[in-house]
Amino acid sequence: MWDVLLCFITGIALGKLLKPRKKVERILSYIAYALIFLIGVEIGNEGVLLQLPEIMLSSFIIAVSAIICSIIAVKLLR
Amino acid sequence: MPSSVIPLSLLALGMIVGLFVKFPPASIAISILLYILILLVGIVLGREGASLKIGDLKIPILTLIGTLASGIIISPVVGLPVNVSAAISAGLGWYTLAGPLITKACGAKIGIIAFISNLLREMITLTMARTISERIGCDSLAASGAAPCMDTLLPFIAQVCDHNGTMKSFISGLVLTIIAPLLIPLLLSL
Repeated sequence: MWDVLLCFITGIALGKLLKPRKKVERILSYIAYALIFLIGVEIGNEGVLLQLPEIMLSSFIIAVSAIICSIIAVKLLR
Repeated sequence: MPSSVIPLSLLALGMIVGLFVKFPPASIAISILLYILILLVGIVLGREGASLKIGDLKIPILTLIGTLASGIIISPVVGLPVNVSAAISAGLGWYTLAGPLITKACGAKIGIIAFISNLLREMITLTMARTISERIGCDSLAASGAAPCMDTLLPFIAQVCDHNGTMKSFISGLVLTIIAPLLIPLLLSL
């Protein structure tokens, strides 16, 4: 957790100090795409693909439930 | 849904490559790129330097409460430990962050659940944007979209909500974008 926090805070400090150009967003997209590709490679390497139907079902349940519960929280507690 | 086509295609391509080519440094490369990603996200947020009022925090906090509650409730259904299920939900729709962070900590199977569930959250919100905004309101649309409301979902929100609703969604997305990278590792460490 602390490694992530350190990276994040360092980034915010650098952003405030250096005010970098918009190019950062483009680099960010490339890194995100590279990460997604590498996750795919790791999934292929570990042979998780056989469990894809179970993975898809769990993912769908988590996504729909998160959306419904968030909407309920905003509607009820506001 | 062009924003979802590229990540899904890259994931599928990676899976196919991974089936035929063993690439052990993948997990190290994921860790390194993840740190760079978080650093760059910090840089972008630091550069923007938005100022927030207390009232702006209502929607993101309630969204967070609902999302975490869902992660806890759904844990026995999906057969995952409560903290892992909550951490997956705490991706708050930010699949490029939740996928790698959770893959690093819990392995490829749970990582891909984190990736796909958060991608689905964005895709469902995008598809249902008009219905949600018209029937339940723009606050609910911001809650449904969570973190991507500050970037990928924003143009679609602007089409169906007024200026005030769009601004609220952006601020909610911004706050949740700050929270997600801190909350996922915290939940995984429990």
